[in-house]
Amino acid sequence: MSGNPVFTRLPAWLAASRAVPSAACAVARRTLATLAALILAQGAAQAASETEEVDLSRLPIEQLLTLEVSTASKFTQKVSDAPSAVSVVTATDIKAFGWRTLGDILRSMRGLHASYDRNYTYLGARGFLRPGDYNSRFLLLVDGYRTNDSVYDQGTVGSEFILDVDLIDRVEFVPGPGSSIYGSNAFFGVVNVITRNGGDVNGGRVAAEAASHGAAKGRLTYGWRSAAGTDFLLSASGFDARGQDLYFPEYDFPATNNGFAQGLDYDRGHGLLAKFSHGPYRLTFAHAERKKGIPTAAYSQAFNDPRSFTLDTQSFADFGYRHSSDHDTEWNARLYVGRYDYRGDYVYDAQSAVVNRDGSRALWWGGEIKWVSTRFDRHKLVAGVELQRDERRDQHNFDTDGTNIRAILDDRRQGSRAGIYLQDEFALRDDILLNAGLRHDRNSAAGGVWNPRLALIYKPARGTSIKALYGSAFRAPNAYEQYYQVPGEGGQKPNPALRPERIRTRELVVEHHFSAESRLTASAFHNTVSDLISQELDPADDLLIYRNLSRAIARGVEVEYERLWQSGVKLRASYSLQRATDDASGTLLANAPRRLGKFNLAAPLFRPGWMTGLEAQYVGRRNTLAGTVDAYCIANWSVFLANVADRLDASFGIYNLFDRRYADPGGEELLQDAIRQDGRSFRVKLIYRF
Amino acid sequence: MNIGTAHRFFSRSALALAVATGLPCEAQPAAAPMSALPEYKVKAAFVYNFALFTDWPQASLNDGAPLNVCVNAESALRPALNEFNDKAIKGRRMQIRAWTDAADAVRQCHVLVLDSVDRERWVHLRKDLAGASVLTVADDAEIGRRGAIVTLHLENNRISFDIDVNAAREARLTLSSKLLRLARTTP
Repeated sequence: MSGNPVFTRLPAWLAASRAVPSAACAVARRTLATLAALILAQGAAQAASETEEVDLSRLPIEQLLTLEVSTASKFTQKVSDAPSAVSVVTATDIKAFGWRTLGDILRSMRGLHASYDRNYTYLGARGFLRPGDYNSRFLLLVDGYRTNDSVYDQGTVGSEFILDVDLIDRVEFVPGPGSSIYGSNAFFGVVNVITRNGGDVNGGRVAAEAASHGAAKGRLTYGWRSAAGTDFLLSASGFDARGQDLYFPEYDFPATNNGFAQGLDYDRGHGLLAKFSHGPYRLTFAHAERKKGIPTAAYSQAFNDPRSFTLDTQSFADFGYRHSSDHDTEWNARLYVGRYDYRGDYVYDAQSAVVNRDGSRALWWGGEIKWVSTRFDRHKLVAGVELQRDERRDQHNFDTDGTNIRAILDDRRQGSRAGIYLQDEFALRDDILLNAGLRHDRNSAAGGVWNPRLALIYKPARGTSIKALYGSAFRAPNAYEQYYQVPGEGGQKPNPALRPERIRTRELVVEHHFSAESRLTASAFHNTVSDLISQELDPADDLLIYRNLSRAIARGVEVEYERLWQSGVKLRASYSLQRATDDASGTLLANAPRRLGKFNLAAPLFRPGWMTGLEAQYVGRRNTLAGTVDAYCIANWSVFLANVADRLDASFGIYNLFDRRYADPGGEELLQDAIRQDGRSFRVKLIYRF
Repeated sequence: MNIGTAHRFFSRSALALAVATGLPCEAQPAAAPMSALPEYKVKAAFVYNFALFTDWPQASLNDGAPLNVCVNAESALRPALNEFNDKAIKGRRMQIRAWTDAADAVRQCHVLVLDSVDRERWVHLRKDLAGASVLTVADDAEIGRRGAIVTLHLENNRISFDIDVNAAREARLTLSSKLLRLARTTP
């Protein structure tokens, strides 16, 4: 493949599509352009048909209250406190684009890309996606509750995520270091998932869906809000996907079923969400369990053995209290308990009854108090204290044939973390805002860490703002990196002396509103990661060990254009040009695309509540551990139809519309250097409201 | 399923089928409450009604002078509000004005319409407005929580509103009992 020219002067989405290298993708582009034109024309027709004149000033206000309105598209405002170029996705977008997982949502956002190894989904930001990292460098919040567990600090974004995406009201991604407010793991960014309320659902829903590769999913939800403000939501869902028989050329030998892993790509799970709120009180309980077959024979297992799988079980209960006083001060308090159990069955000898069982048990509880005040003239202050007790950070590993057990690892740990922070947003002048924050963390695994953040926001003209940002973040080593040990060849040894890894970010953001309907965001960033925790082989004993090894630098620019039309058509397109390199060798990091392009177009169709979403994603060529994977461009198309029959909504989606072949880089634990991704697939969904 | 709902079911299915197969089909009847109206047009009508059912203290109204409704120039509500320009309110002319940052200008408004664009400056605006008889209408829950008099909400495709009675009292505005009765909550 030839090198891609740089089209930085073109509009972001155009540049993204121009940079697509293959001829086949050009066909995709033309078809996409035609579809986009059709959608835009449809939107315009819709606008024209809305000319039925009603003099609303003559309607009594009682009648206004009963009118059904079609929601206008608008730029959603962030709720996060961090000064940053935040990306926001709402429930309407999730419907329009037919997104199935949190990973689908996040990979549509500027600067993010995702990678799937047919077991877990991994998230990358601004050129960083560390092979073997279970998203521990992202803080994943659900309604402000930290879901990263206390063993791996894992943030789950694939089908293993704790929520059904249909229960999401909005997702915000705050790129950049968030440790000055959120502490550890807010390294490359913070993902904040806000769930729907009972009042938003207002009644019952039964949803059933069927998708390619024998996938089925069902959901039952009931939501209710009383006149007195009591809000209640209960939802249960389950899914079962048979998956495909996958071919891996690396295993194409007669002894290993000619490279076919049969019936091992299954993905099953269920989940529960219960929410209750009354006045200032709020209580949430969530639980999810997911079992995934491992078709890749990861960790040098016997290929095509049906006994290999991972099982992830997570739950949490979160209690919150909110109090406002004098309209200028707000108190938020929270108490929570969470757990995450992982079990993985690994088979090293197909002839033997022995299975190696790897696992962890994480249990933690804690609380926080946050205070927001605008009491002082020109200042908005945010202060908070957080405490967390990691009751269990246990890891185990043993061989078993069903009756006998040979213990290999039984490591039991506890820990604690505490943080205190203060942030001030100070209006120096009417057009200059200074945002300064500082947080101190104490962590039993990492000692004390200070993280500052400084942002200067200048508004030279109406509709334009320039933000200069500086900040640092940290990630404490997790229990797996510090204490996991397995003896023997290919084994691993512990390193309790690991230090936290650090990131320092400098960023310049320019936001410009051309009108209330169009917005351009451009950003240039420079990230320096030091003491990066990486795995290496110790030549003394041939064991793997995690050490604070490397220093890495990522630089890049991002441009995003958003446009709304009165007809309800909404466009979001972005292009990122980035370069993430290892500081010592100067080589590009693995799974770090130099170019990313995103194109999302949503439009209303024919009738109120009908809409369609068309998206395209371009990911540039990436280094793998041993070679490269080609750039790819895929498109997804989805339609949502409200009220196709009485109380019945329907949705239909085609993913990887043009059946493009593409692959994601594999991690160290895989023999495969690249893992091929799904071709074209379909989903049909029906939702009955009662 | 009774005959009425069965009929509705089949006619809607037929419509869906017609649309899906590309057959031409008639739009729904044009009577206002039957089909959905654009959100901002209805919200603008609410703002007009709020002005209609509010009494300002004599001191803040000059005889025959227009009633100023100020809105941020970037606000998505502005085009819809502009359609209410020159409408009569109790013998006065309603004037829609694009509002500027200058503090004294804000105190000249009778109604100030705010949306999420105004969030950052609201903290400071509130102080500039202290004691002024300005009816603040927030099309944003965040500003609503932080002391706007009326807050608009969109719930299940219908618009509702909250009234903060204390904030109204501080601004020396008298909101009609009808408004208070129709409001969702009156804390």
